[in-house]
Amino acid sequence: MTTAVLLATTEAGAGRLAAALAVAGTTPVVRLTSQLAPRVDDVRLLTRPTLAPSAPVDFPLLTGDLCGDLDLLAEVLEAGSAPVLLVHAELVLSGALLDVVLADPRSAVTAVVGPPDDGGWPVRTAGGVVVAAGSPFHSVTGSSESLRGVVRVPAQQRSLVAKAARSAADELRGARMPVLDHAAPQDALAVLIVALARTGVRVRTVPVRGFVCARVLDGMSADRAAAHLERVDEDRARMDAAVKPDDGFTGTFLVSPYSKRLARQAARWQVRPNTVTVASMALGVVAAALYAQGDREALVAGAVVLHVALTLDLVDGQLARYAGAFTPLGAYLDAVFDRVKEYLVYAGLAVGAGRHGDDVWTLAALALLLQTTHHTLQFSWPGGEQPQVLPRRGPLTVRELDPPASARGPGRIAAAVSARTQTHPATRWGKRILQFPIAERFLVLSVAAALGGPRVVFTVFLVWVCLALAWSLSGRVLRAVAR
Amino acid sequence: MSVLRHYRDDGPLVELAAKGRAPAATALPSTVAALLPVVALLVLPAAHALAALLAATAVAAVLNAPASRSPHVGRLDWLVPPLLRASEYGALLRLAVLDGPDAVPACYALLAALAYHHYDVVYRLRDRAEEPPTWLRRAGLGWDGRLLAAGLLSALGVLAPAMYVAAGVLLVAYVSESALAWRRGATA
Repeated sequence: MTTAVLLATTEAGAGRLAAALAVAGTTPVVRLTSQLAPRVDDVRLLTRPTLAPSAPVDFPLLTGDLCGDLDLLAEVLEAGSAPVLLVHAELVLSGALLDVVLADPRSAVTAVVGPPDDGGWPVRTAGGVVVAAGSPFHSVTGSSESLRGVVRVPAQQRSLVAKAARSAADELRGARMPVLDHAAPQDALAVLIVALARTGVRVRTVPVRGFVCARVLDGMSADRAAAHLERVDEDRARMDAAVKPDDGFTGTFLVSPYSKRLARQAARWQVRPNTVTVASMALGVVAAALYAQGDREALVAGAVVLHVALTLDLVDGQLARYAGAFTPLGAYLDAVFDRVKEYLVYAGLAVGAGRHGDDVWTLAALALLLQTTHHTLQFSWPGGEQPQVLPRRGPLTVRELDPPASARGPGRIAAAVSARTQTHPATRWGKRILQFPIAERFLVLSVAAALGGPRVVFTVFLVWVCLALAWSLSGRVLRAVAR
Repeated sequence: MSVLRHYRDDGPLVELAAKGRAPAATALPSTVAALLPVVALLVLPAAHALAALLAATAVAAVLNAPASRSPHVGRLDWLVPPLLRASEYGALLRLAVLDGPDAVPACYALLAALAYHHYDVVYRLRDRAEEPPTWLRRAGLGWDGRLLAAGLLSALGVLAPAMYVAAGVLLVAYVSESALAWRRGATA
């Protein structure tokens, strides 16, 4: 289980904690403490001696300034071996967001990010990794998101983060850094994220999505947070957040609208994600067997079964996200069964076509070859798992490190095309469709089989996968050469 | 060191050629040679295909020696694994097509077994941080070994049955090895 540290160092005038302002009949810090109590082992509160009287805890951790906060955080991180959750005490947030953060299976430091607005420090991210972050002393150009003040340090990262916090305190002690205009000038959490980015510790982002995550700094933001809480249906937000944010078009718009409801129902029935994964695999085998019959009725029936298999394939991941039940074996089985299902279906189509005198085995083998090659390209490309732009290392006493050198020549054009097409929804989705993700492939494997038959399936499939390969290869090679 | 080197699946021929040679920092330039077998099968007349395949595979294996134990840190080295997959699968498929229509479904079965293993390596590195065992890579003969074997078996006129047998044997070996690894992980 986890240790949570609430950072209550922001003053809302007259020696009063911002975290102790009234919001919806309670205060942020009281609300957070009761939200955290059932979810973590231990909740600590860090505050100033002068602000302690307004803190609703008996024995808070006390420090005098920001460097003291960082030292204390380092001490907490060095002391135990469980994951640590660092949270701004003046946050008003959905309890389900805490569940999402706490159940994150990744071994990297994670930070909740939201749209850029007030109350959060700006960050620039690349591939879901923080590249540059803002704080009371640090600015960021070209920020796309903002830090919401919830950071999880998994057990295996504790010592690294502690080291970064300690050296940040040492660097900033005595350094004269002008405080940029902000209502929370004592924000150790923001400084810690800058320190992590600048020492090369990877901080991965967790999107806030439909959840509430508002920082209360004064009466006005308190009212706004209360109104936001009122507006948001937490269960619905939780269901929506179970949908993978980077899924393809078909997965997001044609299947997820109902698969997420199935996932929620499955969670209520306490079905395990791996059970759904195995059921989807079994249906894939049935679909392949039906396709192997080769006649029209069997093709239509196979298409229907395959679509149900695809739906269940999305349900398992959504169920795991919804219920916070991720396991490495689940992730592995999900991925392997997807591949086995797909390649069995190609074989089923080829067997069925052969029964009716049409030999499409070469096409099936070509589809397997190209799809495996495209997957291997996606696995191997560093942009897939690692950020395209690594955080630049440098001292904390510099307000902003130079933005990364921009690409040259054709790489610049590729980067510009990539950025330009990313901003417009139509082109962004167009690009994702062109990548031929799994739901699109299964759609071809079912709809084209039912309407046209095996040869039509493989013709459409091969054209599409060739386009996807050409697109992936050209863009990535250009960018890699220019880097 | 990059994870890419585990995706290579080099066989004994490449290993032998690499013995005592310094690994190159970037792997892509030497790995391009892995395309030789499939290119030879595609451009040379079918009558010379077998000799061409055997010669091209031997040359490709020797030329791949510096890449074999390379750290794969070149800026384009992420092209190495897809290149190795496409060239091996492509050569096997072309050989099967030349051999006759019966060999193509057999080749599909073999490619599916190989693909299972190649995905398994990626996903187990991702989900368990587990490197593929050396004995399994050697037992699978590597891309170079498999191409040589396929060429010889095609010369003997038994390519189709041999591919079915190889697919079955490899699939059993690959699947049982990953199942055992997961059981080991569960009890550990």
